[in-house]
Amino acid sequence: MTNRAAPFDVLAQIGPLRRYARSLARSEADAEDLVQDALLRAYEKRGTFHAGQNLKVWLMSILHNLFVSQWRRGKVEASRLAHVQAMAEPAAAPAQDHAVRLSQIREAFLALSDEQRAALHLVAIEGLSYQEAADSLGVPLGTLMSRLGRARAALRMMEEQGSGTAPVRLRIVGGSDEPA
Amino acid sequence: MNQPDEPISEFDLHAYVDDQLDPARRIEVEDFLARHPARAAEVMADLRSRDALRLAMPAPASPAPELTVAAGRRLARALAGQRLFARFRRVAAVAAFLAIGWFAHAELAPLGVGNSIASPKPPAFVDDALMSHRTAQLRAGLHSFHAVVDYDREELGTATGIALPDLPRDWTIRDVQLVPASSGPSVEVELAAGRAGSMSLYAVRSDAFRVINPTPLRKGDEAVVYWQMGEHAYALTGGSTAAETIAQAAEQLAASLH
Repeated sequence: MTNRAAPFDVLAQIGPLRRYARSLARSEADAEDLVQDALLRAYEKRGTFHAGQNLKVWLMSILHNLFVSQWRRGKVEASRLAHVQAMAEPAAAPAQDHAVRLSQIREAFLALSDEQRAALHLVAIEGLSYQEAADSLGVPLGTLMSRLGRARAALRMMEEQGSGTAPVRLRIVGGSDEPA
Repeated sequence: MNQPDEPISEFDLHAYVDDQLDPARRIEVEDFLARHPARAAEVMADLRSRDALRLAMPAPASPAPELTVAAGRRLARALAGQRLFARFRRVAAVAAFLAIGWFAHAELAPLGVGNSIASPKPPAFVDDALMSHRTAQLRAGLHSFHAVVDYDREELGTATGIALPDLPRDWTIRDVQLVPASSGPSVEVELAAGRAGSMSLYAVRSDAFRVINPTPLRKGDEAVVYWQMGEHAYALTGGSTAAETIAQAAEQLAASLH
């Protein structure tokens, strides 16, 4: 564990937290609010953090809980679709075909269900171990693995269909979250 | 060619993509993929999309809003202070007891009846310690359980948040187990200690802040000595015939934690 050297380097976690919040909230403005709320919540809950715990996992789990309990309902839902489109624009443009591919994968990723997106984000982008990711989401390992499996299958589908002509707007609206 | 010892599962394929396999298993998965081109294509696609995702979802390039950074600083300070306090408590718990003890006791454990002066009823963790000692005795008689004899107190301490004592060199470690307790994980160490025979050291993070000096207790055939320093609670259990030796050993362990 690297958190021995700099045990409470909260500032180093702000980047990853903002990235995770963007994946969850799918909007930059909402993501900034979410990170800020998560840090305030973490401060209130600081007594639950104990030595030996992984700071990143702890913070990610607070942010995720906040997203699930407050953000997913109402507030974000209404404005979400417009933002998805805005975020789907590539941030910086490397080589042209490369940029197209990145924007396709970003769009496919953001179209995944909340659960699948969170699971894939923690494992593939943040590089957490399966157990850390499961802890951070508060689900058993098996649930994490099945969400991961479905997320990857969906991206593969995108891969097979999407490498064609005009960018296919695959947008799943409603009913996309798997039960439990 | 070489058939892998265990069949390759979905889990292995994911873990291959996420680089969470040890090298030996990686080779087995690669061997499997070489014989299953369709699965190999899927794995390749997953690897590609993982790498693309990392590029597509970078950490934001813009600086974090000031309020966020301020909230982060405040949290970092609070956590660092907490850690300092925990260390201070561990090191100076006994010495500081008279100075801050009564205050802390009243503040932090208003319902805890026991205190360090006289503890008529032993705290709940003592029962847990006895139970895990008995379970360990049972386990020692079973061949199907593999004993873990590596007592890495740094690692155990980091994983459980419990400060563990350095053990005397002439003690032999027979088994180390993590055991669930109501307040979190606890550590159970089976020992063989010369004249005292077989003993168990039990350590848990209690949710009540207390300072209890080593206190002996007889329970039938067993002798227990328990003590607590702040949130860190310990019990040393063995046969009642060795009660004296256990009491001395407990004093020694408790002192080594200061």
